This record gives sequence, C-alpha cells and structure tokens, in this order.
Amino acid sequence: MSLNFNTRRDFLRTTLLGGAIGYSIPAFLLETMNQLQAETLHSATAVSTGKDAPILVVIQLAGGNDGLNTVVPYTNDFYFNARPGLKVDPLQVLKINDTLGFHPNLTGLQKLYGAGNLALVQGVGYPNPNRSHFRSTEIWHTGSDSDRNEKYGWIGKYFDSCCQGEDPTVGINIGQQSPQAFSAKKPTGVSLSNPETYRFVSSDRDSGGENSTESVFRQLNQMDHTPDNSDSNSGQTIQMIGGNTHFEGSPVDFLERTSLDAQVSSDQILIVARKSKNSVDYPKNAFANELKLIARLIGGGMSTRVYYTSQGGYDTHTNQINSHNRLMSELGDSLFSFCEDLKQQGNFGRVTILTFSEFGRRVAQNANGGTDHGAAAPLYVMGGQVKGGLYGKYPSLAPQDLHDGDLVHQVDFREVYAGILEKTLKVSSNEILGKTFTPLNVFG
Amino acid sequence: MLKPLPESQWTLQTARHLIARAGFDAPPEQVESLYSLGLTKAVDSLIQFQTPPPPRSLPKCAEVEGENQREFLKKLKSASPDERERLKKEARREMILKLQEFQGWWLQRMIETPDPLQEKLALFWHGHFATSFEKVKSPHLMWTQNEIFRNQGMGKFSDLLTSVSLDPAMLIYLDGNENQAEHPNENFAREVMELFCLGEGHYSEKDIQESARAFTGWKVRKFNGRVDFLSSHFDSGSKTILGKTAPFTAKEALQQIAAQPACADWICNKLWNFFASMPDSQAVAELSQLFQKNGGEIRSILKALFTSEAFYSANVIDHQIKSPVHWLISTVRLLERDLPPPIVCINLLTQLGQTPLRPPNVKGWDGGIAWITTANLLNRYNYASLLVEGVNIFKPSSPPPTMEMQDDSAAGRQNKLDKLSGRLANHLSPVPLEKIISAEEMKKPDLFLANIQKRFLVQPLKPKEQETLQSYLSQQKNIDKTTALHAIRLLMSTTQYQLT
Repeated sequence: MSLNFNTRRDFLRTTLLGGAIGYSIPAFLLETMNQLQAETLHSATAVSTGKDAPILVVIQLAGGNDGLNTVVPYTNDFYFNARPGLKVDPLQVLKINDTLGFHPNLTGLQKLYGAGNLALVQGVGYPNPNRSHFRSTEIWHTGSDSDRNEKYGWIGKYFDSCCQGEDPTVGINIGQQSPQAFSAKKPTGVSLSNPETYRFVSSDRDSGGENSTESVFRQLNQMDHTPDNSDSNSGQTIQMIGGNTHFEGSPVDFLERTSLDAQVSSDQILIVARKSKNSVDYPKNAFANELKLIARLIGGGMSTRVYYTSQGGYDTHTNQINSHNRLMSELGDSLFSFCEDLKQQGNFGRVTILTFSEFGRRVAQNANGGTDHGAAAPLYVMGGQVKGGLYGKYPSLAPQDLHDGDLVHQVDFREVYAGILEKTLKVSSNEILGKTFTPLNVFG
Repeated sequence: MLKPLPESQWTLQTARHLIARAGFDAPPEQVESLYSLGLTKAVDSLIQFQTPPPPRSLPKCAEVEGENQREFLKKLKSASPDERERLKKEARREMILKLQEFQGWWLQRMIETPDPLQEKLALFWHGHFATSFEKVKSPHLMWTQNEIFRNQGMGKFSDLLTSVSLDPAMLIYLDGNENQAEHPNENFAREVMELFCLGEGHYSEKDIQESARAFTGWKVRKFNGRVDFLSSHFDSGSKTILGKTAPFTAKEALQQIAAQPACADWICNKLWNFFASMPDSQAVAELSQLFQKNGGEIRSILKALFTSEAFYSANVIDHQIKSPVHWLISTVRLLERDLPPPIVCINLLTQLGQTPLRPPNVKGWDGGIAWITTANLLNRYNYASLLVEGVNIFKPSSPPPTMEMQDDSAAGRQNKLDKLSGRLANHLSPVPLEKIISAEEMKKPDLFLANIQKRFLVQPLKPKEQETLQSYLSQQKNIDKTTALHAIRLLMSTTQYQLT
C-alpha cells in the first residue's frame, strides 16, 4: 500500500499519464480531471498550497469560557463585588498592565504575550447576544447576525470561493463531527479524531496480505496497484480505475470522486501522522493531544489551510474554581508547547491561531459557586505574523453599563474574522461574510 | 397529469425501487410479495395506511409532564443550593434519557411499521419543518410535533402547515412564543415564506413584516405545553400579505401563503427531490398542477409520483444517495438483525451527519451529495463492520475531560455519547447469518455472491469487482462464517452500497 502521490491531482496526473499509453481513459476520470481544472480556474483567488502557504488554526473553547477570570480586571471593585467566591487573587494574576492580568495558570499565554506573539482582543461579541450554546455557536460558526439563520460556515464559504479543486484536506477538523464553520455549498474538509480510524479499518486482526479485507477493499474500490515508486508511470493503474461513464454532477460520479479522495487523504494523513514527530513535550491531556496531531500534520507538509479543534468543559455553572483552574493550565500550557513545536519546525511564521468561545459568562457569580451563560469575552490571535498586544477595549463592569447582567461587546467577532480573512487567508472579507466589517488588524 | 408506468415495466426491480424510496428497503421475499400485487395495488398498499391503526407502544415522553414539573419546581424552591443543583442535574439527565428513548422508538418504528411510508414521510416533514430539541428542550413537545407529521403528513398541506405552526415546538423554535403586538418577532414569518412554503424570490421583506404581525399572540404554557391565544398580545390591525389586505389572523395568513402557486411548486419540488432525487422539472410542474387542483392533498401527489413513469426512469433508479437514517434502517432490515441500542444508533447517525430530532438548523438537512464527505464515507464503511460483524472500530480515544461538570455544550455531550456508545457497541452481536444465507450458498461462492448482491445492491457489481469478491470467497472449500461476514461488510464498503 505504498503511496507516493501527495494530492488527488498528483494521483490523477500520474494515472492519466500512465494510462494514456495502453488504455483508453475512463470518461469519469477525464471529467473529474477537467472539472478540477475548471474549478481551479474559477476560484476567486488562486490559492497557494505547499510549504510556504499560510495556515489558520481555529480553536473553540466549548461551553462558554469565563472571560472575566481569564483576563482578570484585578483592580476593579465591581469585579470583586460580583465575584465574592470566585475572584482571582490580585496578587496571583500574571500582570499584563496596571489593570489587567492573565489567570495565574495561563503562564503559557503570558510567555507568548511577552514574546509579542499574542494579540489579546478584549470584549469580543455581537449585537443582541444569544445565550444558548447551540444558537450562539451557530452564530460564531456562520458569522451571521443573531436574528438571521445562516446555513454555511465562514470557513466553508472560504472553501467554496477559494478552494474549489483543492484536496479535501484543505480543511481538517480534529474531532468526530464536522463543525458548522466548515459547512459549505460544496462540502470539503475532513474530520478525524484519530488517523488510525480515519481510513477503512480492516476486519481481520492482521491486516496486510493479499487476502486481507483491506486489500480486497482496495481492489473493490479500484485503488489497488498504486504506483510503487516515485517515478511511476506504470500503465497498470488505470485499468483499476475504469468505471462507468456518468454524466456530470451525478451522485454516482460524486461518490466515486469522494471515495478516491477519502482513500488518498486517509493514506496521506496516516503516513504523515506516523512519520512526523513532535519536537517538544506537551502536557498530557486530550486538548494537547489534538494540538500535537495538528503540529505533526503541519510539520509533515500537509497542504491544509485551516485546522479546527476544540477544548471542551467550559460550561462551569457549578463549583467553577477547580475545573476552570485546570482548563486554564491545559489551555495555556498546550498552546505554548504547540507554538514552540511550530517554531522548531520553522512553521510558526505562517501559522495564525484563533481561539474563541461561544460566549463569556455572567458578571455576577451564581448561587452554586459557578457562573451562568453571558455575552462578550476576550479572545486570542497568536502566530508568527501577529503583532502582539492589547486590542479593543475592556468592557465596563459598572452595573449600569451591563446589559441584563452581561458585558457589552466592544469588538464584533466578525471584525476579527475579517482581519484574518484579509491578512491570513488573503481573501475579500466582504465576499465571505456577506457584509462589510472593518477588519481588525492584529498583524504586523 | 403524469404519465403512469406501463404495467409491463412493473418488475422486481421497479418494485424494489418503490419500497426503497417510499419506505426503508426490504429483503427479497418482501419485494416479491409487493411485486405480486401489481403496480397500482402496490402503490395503494403504501399510501393507504392501515385502518384502524394497529396498536403500538409509545415512548415515555408521550405523556404530558405538566404536574411533575410543577412539583419539581416546588421541590426546587425549598431545596438548599447543593440539593437544587443535584435535582437539576438529575432532571436534565432524565430528559436526555427520555429523548434517547424516543429517538430509539422512532428508529425501531421505521423498521417494523406496517406503514413504512408514514415514517418516511414523517422524516421528510421533520426535515422540512426542521425543529431541534436543542432549542425546544422538551422531549414531550418534540413528540407532539412528530405525531403531527405522522398523522397529518398525508393530508392537505395547508392543514399540516397550520398544525405545525401553532404547535408548541415550532412556536418555541422560531420564537413565535416571543412574538407580541408590541415587539413583533419576524423569525417565524421569514422562515415560513423562505423555507416552509415559497422559497426566495416569491415574497418581499414587507410581506414578512406584515405577516409577523398576524402571527402575534400565541403563547406556550410553561408546564403543560398547552398553547394559548392571548388576544391582548395580538395585533388585530389590517395587514397586506402577498397582495391581499385584511386583518389577517395567524391561520388566515397561513392559508394565504399556502394558496400561492409558488407554494405548490415549492412543496412538489421538495417532495420530488426527497423521493425521486434526480431533477425533473416536467414532473414537478405536473405534480404542482395536481397540488393546486386537489387543494394540496399530499396523498394524491404521492400516488401520482409513485405511479409515474418518470419516477422509475433509469436515471432515478439507484441514483439517490442514502441518507444516514435510511442507510441505518435499510441496513438493519436487509441484514435482518436487531437494531443496536438507541445510544449506539444515535452516535452512529451523528457521525454520519443526521441526528433525528436534532437537525443542524432551521434549514434542515441538505441531503443528496451533501450527505457524503470523505470522513463520513469512511465512517459508513467502518460502521458496516459494527452492524455486520459486531466489531466496534470506534473505541473512545480518551476519557471525557469534563465528567465532573455539567457540560451541555456540543463537545461535552459528544464526549459522553462517544464513551457510552462505545461501551454498548462492544457488546453488539454479529448478524444472524443463517437467516439470510442458506447452507447451500455457504458452499458455493457464486451462489453466495449472487445472494448478497441481490439483497444488498440495486444493480450488480461490475465484473471486475465480482471477480475480486469471488476470489476472496473462494479461499477455502467452504465459506466460513468469518469470511462470509467480511464479504458482506466489504460489499457494503463500496460506493454502490451508498446508493438506492
């Protein structure tokens, strides 16, 4: 099962060249090839892939992170009054300036901030905030106004307009379910939690061998006898691909194409993930494991433009302190290791990392030592291109300035998206967001 | 009027196509008995539901929760903070369990109902009037809506529209509940035109604003889920909706919307897409005329659709990508195995991209090619192993990090679901092979292969693929059980098996 082509197009090119010699080219393949080329031409922007293309990593802190205890206004009396049992000790905060400090466990983020790699955007939210996890996540993922139901995700719309004809691995979500942010007219992007299960998993114990289910599966799906050396123009491949002729846009055609994509990408991801190594130590937790995998995929040379993952557990309605403390150290330490790893690889300069949460939490603590769903909160943008520092404005905590007990947003999250779309992904943000937002420029 | 299929073209293949699309597919014997009825009677047997309906068990959430809830709130009031938290947690757990039981109930019903079209159509309406438990947050209210789809799905569209629109689940989901004369909320008004009835381009922003006023005054009672009309919150003034001016009530506004020719087109197009899939504007236009002539009676539309020649054309048969629900239910029916426990099914369906009662948004599921991504195609191949061999390939990778907390975010829920479903899936049994393969077929690879192709595929594999499987089956003198199960799983791990 050796494999040398890196992309679907390499594969098609190889097999087409090989096949043209002795066999007639199956129509479905020719159509696929033509379509790929047409799609590439139609893309709004020519996308550069490969070693030097920019990469976006989006991380959702799922459940609603308590922004107030993440970036603490440690001299603000309103804060102490609202959080008698939950306040972070002002002596322990990691000072950013005279009024703000990171949560004591965010040493990792403090280091990144100190190195000028972290932009801290304060008071991010949107008008008429919705306090349902489901709905607010949907709003963040689609970039819609809170009173509109939008179907496609902001990343999906980027895929639709800029990445047609690219490999499906142009977007990789680490997790089982594809995030709505990836939802697109032409679905692309893959979701996997483990490269070992993102593939046809053999039914028999010992895979390999001519009669293993995996080998039969490859034959059935016309993927056997893939070229076995880098300069393979061997003509045998094409006969395996021979399929029926289907008219353009038929579901059969689509399925065959996706099946091909699935195998090429799963082989590729597995090989890259097995071969590529992390060069620094990471903390031991599920979130760090996901970042480790992303670092390996980046280091291994995947042409992926957007990675997506999430850290769960932020819905701290009860006994918040211990769990939030743990989440903060997991977040800060894992992200720090991730950035170090990318720096060692020499890839940090082309990676931009965005963290967000569907909402912050209520200013006042509740009766159960926790906090309920709120509104605006800070977010981070990190990376080699980022100009570190504070952006936006910390929302006022004065009771008369709150809206239903919640912080009022100072920066619309779509301004942050717009900045990233324009600067990192190099695409017109109007086109993707369907509306004009002033891009927030956190880049140097 | 759509041209009917000539009786001469009524074959085992067309009969199979009918039961696959109007229901959830069927093993060969059932296809044969449907075929023996002839086209007209076969279609009648599907569109005429059994009367009186045979007795059925109901999910727990069919009961009204009213009094329990009132008592629960009383208890909550007098409890200490810690106790209160425990009570709430317990209540939430109970609610999720009830929802799961209901989801499992529905899937089971799809498998064993004598009226498969009733459930297939309920699934269609559920996707059309997409409403999610995520926001409604009551299994009981999701159930009452589901029963509307089941009981009124074949009737007049305008009646169905009215029932669904003024039912608690929809009032909650699209904020009708918040829509008052003083502060009109346009959420429902917009979607009823854009998604439920007309489609973009057939109404104006003004129509939305005006009809939102007609939908004011409806309120869901918190405890018993009863809906009240509060005339004090209703805007009784004159409104202009789609060219007609009157002091519209909600029901009148819905009638006005449903009476538009664009509504007939919209609904017939969606029905055609769901049941036939491949675009056919001529067929849709003729169905739309019938819709307008028959006052939008769905039963007559479906009768015309299922008897039409167009529905049985070569580019319709075997050209639909199975939805995840169809994939699961038809697989279980064809394997003649038990449905796995509800939580395993729900996790599987979530991985494949369609969780009943939790559609992704008000637009429902896109369907068609959108069902297929590289990731969930591989998931289908691997879940085939679970259903056929009882082998659980998705072992949860790490323990959920958030067990000590209530984490009702999607990620937190998915973690728990993975873990539980993984545990249960480990105890799933393989397919009862002797039910579907004879002893004779276990001895002869060519007979075995012919059997499983006939049962699982609409069209046979290509010769090359047949050869591959044949040689896999011919390794030993007799086909052993393991090889047989592997071969079935392999057959299901093809692009062909994703089609119906």
